[in-house]
Amino acid sequence: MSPCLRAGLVLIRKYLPMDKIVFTDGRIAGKAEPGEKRVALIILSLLGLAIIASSILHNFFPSVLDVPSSEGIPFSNFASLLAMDIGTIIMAWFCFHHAWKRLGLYAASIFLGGSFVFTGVEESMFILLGRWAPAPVPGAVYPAMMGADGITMVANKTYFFTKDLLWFLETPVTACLGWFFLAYAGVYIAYLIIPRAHIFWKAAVGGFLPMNVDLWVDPVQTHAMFRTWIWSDQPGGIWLFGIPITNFIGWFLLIFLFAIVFERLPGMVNRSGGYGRAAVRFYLILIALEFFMLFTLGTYGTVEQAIFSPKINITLWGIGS
Amino acid sequence: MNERTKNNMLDYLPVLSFFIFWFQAALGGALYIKDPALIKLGVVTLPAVAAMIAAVVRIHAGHRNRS
Repeated sequence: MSPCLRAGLVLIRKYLPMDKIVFTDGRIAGKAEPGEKRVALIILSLLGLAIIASSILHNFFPSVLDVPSSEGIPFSNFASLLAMDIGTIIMAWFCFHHAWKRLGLYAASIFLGGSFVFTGVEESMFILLGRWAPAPVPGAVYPAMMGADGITMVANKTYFFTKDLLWFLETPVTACLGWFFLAYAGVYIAYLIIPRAHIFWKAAVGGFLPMNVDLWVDPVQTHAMFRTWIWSDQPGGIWLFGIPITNFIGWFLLIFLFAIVFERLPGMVNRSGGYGRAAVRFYLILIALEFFMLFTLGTYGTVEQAIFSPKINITLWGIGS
Repeated sequence: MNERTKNNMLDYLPVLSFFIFWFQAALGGALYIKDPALIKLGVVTLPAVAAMIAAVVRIHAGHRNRS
């Protein structure tokens, strides 16, 4: 072992206490009770039904939701989309399998379902508001795009995703599953590196890490050579590397709030006296937080666009300018 | 592979997904685009890379302590 690596390990061992490591104590979660299995089955069945219905609507009846055309989008052929779906499902399975073995089937299903309810619904609300709501700043002009039906002209005042085979409302399943494994892994890593910290700090680090990776992923995936999602060319606001800063605030807040609510799940099961009731309570809290975030980020974005016009782009090496 | 090794490997799976995403969607994408500025932008993810390394060290130490 090189002296540098040895010195690094000594420092890590000195400053990161090893005596209280969560998740890696080798404990396997107990066998799921019938009530837990029932809730997991309901969640996974509802998710499956919602994905089938949304995918049919998005792919075969695009005019219903004014889906923009994906003509000319790179890597949008069937083989590329299938490869993207399979790769994402494998990465999500790694985390679901870990959650199932360590936390149990009930908690794993709640986390997975929560990823769709929380991020899938939230993203779809922002996407559809960008399509249908009036311009947030009066007088601002947003270029219209051709609809997927080749007839409709579609406005884009926020953003939209361009490609996937499977959809959950107007959000690709790969985005929902991506959020699931990034949120799960982010919080897991936070528990490992700051095991003694308060849940507030663990949730903050858990939210920061995926947001940190997104600082690189977003400029790359919105580049003309990928265009995995498309941001509207908004006239104002604060942008970071060519991406609205509200995107990064949203990433952080979604995982931060989710981690805090998820931490309270065992308490909810104990208090409500049933797995089903606790699941309903958990998802109702998520939906309330969703509306809170929609209102807060929407208001903030509108004020930001009105104040910072023309837009300010904070950049490194001219990225996004 | 015995049960203990399988159980130990399980602990690396979430970190592995996080790493694959970083490697494929960010690093792979930036290298494919071949824009030097986008490749350099990777330095902003150093905290995430450091956290992944620290997590792997912690998992390894946890397994060693257990055995």
